Amino acid sequence: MEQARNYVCKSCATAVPSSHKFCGACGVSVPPDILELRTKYFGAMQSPGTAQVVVIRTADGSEGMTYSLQGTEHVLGRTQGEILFPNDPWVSETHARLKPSPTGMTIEDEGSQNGVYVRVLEPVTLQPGDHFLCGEQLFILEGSLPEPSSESGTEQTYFYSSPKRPSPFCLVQVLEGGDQGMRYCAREHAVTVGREDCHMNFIDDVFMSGSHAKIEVTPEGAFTLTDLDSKNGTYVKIDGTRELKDGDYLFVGKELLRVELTA
Amino acid sequence: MIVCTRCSNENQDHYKFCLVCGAPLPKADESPVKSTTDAPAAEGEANGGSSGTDRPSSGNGKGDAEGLASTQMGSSQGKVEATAGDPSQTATGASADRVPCPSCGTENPGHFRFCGNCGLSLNEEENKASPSAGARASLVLIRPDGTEGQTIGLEDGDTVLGRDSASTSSGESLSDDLFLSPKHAKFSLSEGELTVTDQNSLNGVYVRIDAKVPYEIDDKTVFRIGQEVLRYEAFQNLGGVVQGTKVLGSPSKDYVGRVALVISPDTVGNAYCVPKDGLHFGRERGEVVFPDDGYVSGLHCRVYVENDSVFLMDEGSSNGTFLKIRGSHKLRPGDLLLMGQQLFRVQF
Repeated sequence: MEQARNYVCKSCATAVPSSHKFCGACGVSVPPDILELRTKYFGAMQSPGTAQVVVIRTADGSEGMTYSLQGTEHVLGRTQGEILFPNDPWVSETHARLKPSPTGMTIEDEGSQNGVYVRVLEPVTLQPGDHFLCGEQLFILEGSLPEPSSESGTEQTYFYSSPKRPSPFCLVQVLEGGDQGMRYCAREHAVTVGREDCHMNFIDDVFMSGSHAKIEVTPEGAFTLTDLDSKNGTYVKIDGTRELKDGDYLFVGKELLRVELTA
Repeated sequence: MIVCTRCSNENQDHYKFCLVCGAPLPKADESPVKSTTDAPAAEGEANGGSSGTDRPSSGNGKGDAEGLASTQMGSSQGKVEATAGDPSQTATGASADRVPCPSCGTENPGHFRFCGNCGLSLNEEENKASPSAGARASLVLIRPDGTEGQTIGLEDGDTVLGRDSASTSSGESLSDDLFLSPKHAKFSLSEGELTVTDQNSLNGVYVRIDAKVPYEIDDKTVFRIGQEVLRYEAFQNLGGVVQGTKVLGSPSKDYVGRVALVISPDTVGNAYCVPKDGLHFGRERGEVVFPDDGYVSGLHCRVYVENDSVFLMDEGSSNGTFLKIRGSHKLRPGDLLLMGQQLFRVQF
């Protein structure tokens, strides 16, 4: 079972290769919103500037703010703290804490519901259970499928299953609310995520690049996540505390923040 | 290659019936084509082989013979004789246009000997002389090659079938199917109505759904296309909020559920969300494709949402879409049932 890699003609259900204007099977034209789809930037201020914590994008579309940080701790939250996002229902009441550190600044997740995501600048190692964001999509990495237990079902009856193949890992899309949506089990050592021609395609996610990110398993069984020079980046959920660098991007709820450290 | 003596379709050597017209085929080594491979040898066979698809398959025998003579120069003599040797069949084939199936009502081309929809023999006398003449209803096993196997008679009252079937005289072959539970399904025949009840079997009982007819499905509905077992799963937590904070995730748009590939009793493989305008499933066409499953049709079936309900519709697939029954299900004559690895046709 796999997904068509391109837009599928609404008239005859044949996949139409990228950039084609008409369906090769039935001649029906491809709608303009598909043809003219280009990846959009999350926010206008995504190019580097000089401020300190810059809100690039808010959940409700309101204008971004710049927060100048003092040499003390700052709490980010929906109702508590110094940096407040009262209109973002995905931010917990107390969400995260920015702390000065000898080399600059760290961010600490305060046990928030949705966690803190940091942009991946170079390949990072993932563990099964880790979450990451591409475009508007949230994914969770699952390790290899459990060994088939079907051989001896109840009363020695065999379980009839779909044909299956060994798979080193699966990627699962997590929907708002927590339901598992799309799921893809790797057939080889790598899975790509993007808008078209990838293993997992999100044709109508305008914040997703054509080829956005790649997840690989090494022969030793370690998982790595690589951003494929996407326009908006790939963000991985931090585990507890993370040291921040100048130019790091963070997601707190649906707020996209840029961290700027002046030396 | 076996060339059908009635319609000249070329069939693979292991076929027992012609794929096009259903006529019994001679065994491969008795095939008219093979029988001409003596003297003019290879050339003759090659010509004979290709002529099968080129020739018009029915109608005017004279034209046939002429066409054949001019293009083939008589090299496949054996075949001409074989076709001519059965004039009665070609005659009946030409006489009746459409024949309704007495069981399911499908209109079949006049030369069909078996109903294209339910597989019932269209020869009435053959039906009357069914081996289970005493029984009120029966299940006819359909073998993988499409021929009919044993018939299991069902008497009035309840009959439980499964791997342990001792209640039937002809349940032996069921005992070899390890995908059948010991007690798999109960058939109840009463006042001309036949219902099947899944006895909590591990793999369930599936009924083929009619093509182009929508069937409403809901959470945990299981269906089969080709070799694939698919399950519809309704989303339960859309827009979920925990302690005043919304749970982060991909936009759920108009999604109401997803279709997942069942690969063990408690795990699923790939899964895809059902958008408002639906998901098409096929071997080649559709948003979800099964390029490795030769039993799935090019475009096989569709799952879509209408008025907040979810429907499954077979798009006219060759092998059908089978819906797993829940509890009891009333059967119609001609229904096709899938239990374990066995395919049955219901007759009553």
